[in-house]
Amino acid sequence: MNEQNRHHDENLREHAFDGIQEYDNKLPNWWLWILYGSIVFSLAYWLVLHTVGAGDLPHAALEKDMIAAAELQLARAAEGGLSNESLQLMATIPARMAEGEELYLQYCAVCHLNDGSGSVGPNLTDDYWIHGNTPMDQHDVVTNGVTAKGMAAWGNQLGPKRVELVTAYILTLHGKNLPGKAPEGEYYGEEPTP
Amino acid sequence: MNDAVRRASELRKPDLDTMYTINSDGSRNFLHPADVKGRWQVRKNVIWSVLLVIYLGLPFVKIGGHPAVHVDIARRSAYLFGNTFTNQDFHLIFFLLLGFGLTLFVVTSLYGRLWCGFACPQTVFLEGVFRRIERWIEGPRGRRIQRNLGPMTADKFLRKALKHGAFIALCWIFAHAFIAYFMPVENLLDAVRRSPADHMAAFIWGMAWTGLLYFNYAWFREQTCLIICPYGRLQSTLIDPETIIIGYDERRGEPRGQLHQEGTGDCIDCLRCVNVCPTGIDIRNGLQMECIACSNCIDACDTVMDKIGKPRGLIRYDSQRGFEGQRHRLLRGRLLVYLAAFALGVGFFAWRAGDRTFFQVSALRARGMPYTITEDGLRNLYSIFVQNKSDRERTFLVAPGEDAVALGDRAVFIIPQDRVRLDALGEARLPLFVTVPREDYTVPQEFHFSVTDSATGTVRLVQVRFRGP
Repeated sequence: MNEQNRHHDENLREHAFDGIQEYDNKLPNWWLWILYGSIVFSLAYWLVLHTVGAGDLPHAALEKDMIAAAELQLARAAEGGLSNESLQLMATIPARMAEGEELYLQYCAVCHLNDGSGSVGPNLTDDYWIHGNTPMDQHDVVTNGVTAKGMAAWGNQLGPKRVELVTAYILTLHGKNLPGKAPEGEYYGEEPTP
Repeated sequence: MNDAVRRASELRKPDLDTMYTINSDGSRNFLHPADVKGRWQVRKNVIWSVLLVIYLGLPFVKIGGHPAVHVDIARRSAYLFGNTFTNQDFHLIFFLLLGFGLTLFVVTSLYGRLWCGFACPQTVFLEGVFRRIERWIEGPRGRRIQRNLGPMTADKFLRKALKHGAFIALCWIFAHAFIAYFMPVENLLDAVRRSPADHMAAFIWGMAWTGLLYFNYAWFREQTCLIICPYGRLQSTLIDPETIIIGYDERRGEPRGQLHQEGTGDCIDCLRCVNVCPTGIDIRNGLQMECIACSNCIDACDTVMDKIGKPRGLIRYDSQRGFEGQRHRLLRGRLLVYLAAFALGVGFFAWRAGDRTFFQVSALRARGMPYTITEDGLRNLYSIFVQNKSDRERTFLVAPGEDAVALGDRAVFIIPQDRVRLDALGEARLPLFVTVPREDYTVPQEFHFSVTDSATGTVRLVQVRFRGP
């Protein structure tokens, strides 16, 4: 090696380990600017988000996004013409209810029994509802299920059209007040409140 | 940079004690590598041309309806040459990266940093594309240095504007090619034609990557390899005296001196090897952390040796032992250990990847009560989680397993959804009820539900436990 190239002894540190010494050359300026920039950023982040409270922390931002997504879904359902009124209207059309009954017997009766008086699933003929009594509430339960309580989500399996039919059919069961499973949930009265 | 530092940096030569690309005040010493021709350059150009096509084209090639290499972040899945991986397979990425890492280990211990000089995208794009454009617009090394030191003239301004314009345009293209690995090409091409307001997030990613690439290829360059890339730092632990590296034959070259001088070696100290170096080292100081094994200095020195009528190879590929005039050994313990670890990692990946199932089932006990007491007896509620990991729609059948008879013949299984249709990569939670007459129950009983993929007939069993008081 060329000895003339060793001319940085002013930067050589005093300590040595096993004869290995190290230089204290200046760090690249770009590296230092990243360091200073990070310090300024973290201070600004701390002040703006934690001290002043302007802007959302990640968790709050996520919650906002989730609410916005739910509202978007609702809006899309409404765009498809779905409403309490439309479901109730559908429940009055005999041909549609024949289809709805067929679906009900095939998919729902295993838990709610053929007449809707309930076994594993709640009694659908009484005036008590666990997850709200409006037709749209029923539609939501059928679509998304309540897995923790044993109600399956049917949205993906049946598709939107058949979910509407079977929801409308369930509206026709209400008010029959058949003896069966004991009432569960809250009392809402005889008429569904649309 | 003040004048004293500037003067010092003009006189400065690469050494082992400092990083040549950083001046004593921390400012950047920008390199202007000279042109070099030779056999290694020809080979690199061929390899780089192929690699450019591969790096830019992979997301556009479809295998089995999906891009050859694609990471779908939104759906948490990845496609790799016709195989689909979901988030459930994420652990496999460890073995994949281990495989890549150990391939580098094996190659490095055999032939040094071949990857850096011949295949790394940083080199392929920087040396193969950007440096070339810079050379076309700004001329050879001498003229580039003179112009950069000189005052701003119309000519300098135009050339700089042209160069940076071309760089930004290319970075924009390369940034989108990179994003295509993470966003379906059709969506990307569609998004490019629309207003940024329609897809703000993707637009910001596109601009950020364009900016980052431009910063990297226009200014940062070798600093990425020298300070940011961890692989170069491993060099000293991966190579040994038997590794083939690029080196300078000290025994033949020293002492340096002018041609035809008495008692000097073959090195005429022309500094060609230093001037062509893209990372600013003097290879005659020995192998260094900065060396990306680009082989520029080999071709530069061979050209000079040809001119002065000396044999080629003063700077060449050889092992440290070879430079000392000893025989080179190929097989040694280090290599065998790397090979064994490599085979283990890759073998495990291949085994696990081949053994993946295209659906996954797991059982969860419903939260809350372990059991309920009803008129019919004891009732348990389970929830089974089914995930379709294949890339097509599938229907799954749910039924009690054969060992469910252990619950007695009066047990009732209520399966609201005994057929579940799932989209590609879709998932569902299915509730299941089991009722057992009170008098039939003695102790908690384990049994299984079976889930069958109707397309393939593959059956997965999932274990649950019937509980009571």
